[in-house]
Amino acid sequence: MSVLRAGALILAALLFQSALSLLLPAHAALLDPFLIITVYVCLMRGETAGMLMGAAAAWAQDLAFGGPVLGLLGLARVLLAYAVGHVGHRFLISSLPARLATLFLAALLDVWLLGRFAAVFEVPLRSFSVLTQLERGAVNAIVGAGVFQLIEWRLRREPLL
Amino acid sequence: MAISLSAHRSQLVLAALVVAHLLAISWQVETDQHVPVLEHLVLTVVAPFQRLLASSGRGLGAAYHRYVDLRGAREESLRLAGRVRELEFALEQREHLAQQAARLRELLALRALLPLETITAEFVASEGMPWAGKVTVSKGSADGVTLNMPVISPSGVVGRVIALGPHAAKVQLILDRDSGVGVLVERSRTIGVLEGLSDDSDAGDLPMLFVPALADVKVGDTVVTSGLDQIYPKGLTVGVVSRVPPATGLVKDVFVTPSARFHQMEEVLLVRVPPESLDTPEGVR
Repeated sequence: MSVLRAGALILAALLFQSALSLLLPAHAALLDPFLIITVYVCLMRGETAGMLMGAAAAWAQDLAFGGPVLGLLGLARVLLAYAVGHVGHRFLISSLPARLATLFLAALLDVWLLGRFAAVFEVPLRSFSVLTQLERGAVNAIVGAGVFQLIEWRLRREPLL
Repeated sequence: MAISLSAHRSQLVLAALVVAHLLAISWQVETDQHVPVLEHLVLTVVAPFQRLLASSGRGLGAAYHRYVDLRGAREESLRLAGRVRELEFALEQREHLAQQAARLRELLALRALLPLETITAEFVASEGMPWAGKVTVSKGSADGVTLNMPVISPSGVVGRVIALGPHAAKVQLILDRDSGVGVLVERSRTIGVLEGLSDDSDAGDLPMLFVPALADVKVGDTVVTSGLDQIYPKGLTVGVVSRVPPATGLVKDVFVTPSARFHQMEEVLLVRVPPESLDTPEGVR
């Protein structure tokens, strides 16, 4: 995957998140397009590309939406990408349920890792309730899996990555 | 190696990214003491090494300074030793000058008392032993010195000129074996001839010859020049009677210790005026 295409994906996620925060500000936190593209790259290209994408996307997210500490989200995403890429390398995650499960668990892991690092560095962070976390996981899983299917459908017509 | 790196590429990337993120976060996050975590970590990790380095550095520095100080002390010691030698030499010179000044003062005093024209000269050489009978002085015929000129010092008669050069003269001391000085015992006016050192001389005293056996001479009597030898002015102190052995005939031997300090003498006066017209004042005696 070229840097240009990675940049395009990050830009798309940025625009989507911006639009979402404008259109549905109350529900914008439930969907994380940066997380979705990180998981996608991990599953398609492996953990190395996923970690790089995760780090770059997280930095873009922090810079654009004002993360409390630059790099905190990136650290969580790097570890998340490694884990997802590692799992995706050993298991065939191409079916819809598998992708749903992966995205759901990734969203939970993402919040958990971020919370842990915030605690370690004593960075005040908005906490999510378990219900909200589950809700966030479900939203990301559904949207992400849909996007994956869309991309794959698109790729069958013209390879994207 | 390349295979190994490729196999662990993801781990390496993970490690690099994690470290990079930790550094970035640590740069921003502050500890309780409001110090950035990164700085705190650096301080925590580096401080022991810095302490080690500092203590080693201080130790090395101290050792170096001790070495430098030691070298400095040695050089200083050598310098001071040299300085001490210089000062000792200067002190010796000053002492010498002081002694010379004292001697010259004595000579000046003598010159002031003597109604004689004198020439001041220095001893420049002696023949062999310190008690040798002849010495060389620093003035000669070019300075007005003539043969048979009496040579005196503030402490007493020294001798007479027996040889001349343009700028030096040889002086026969009264100690010389061939010397003879017309003398008299000041107290009793007993006359005699003082000879140079002889085999009978004891501890440097000189025999006074031709003293009548009945003459009144005692140990401690002052002996002065009589002027009868037509060389030495009359009345100059020659010495003190040191021994008066019993007479064995018509004459008796009297021994006189010269009053001139030959072993300390450096400057003398050479008397210019013929002695027969002189009568040494009492003060000179």
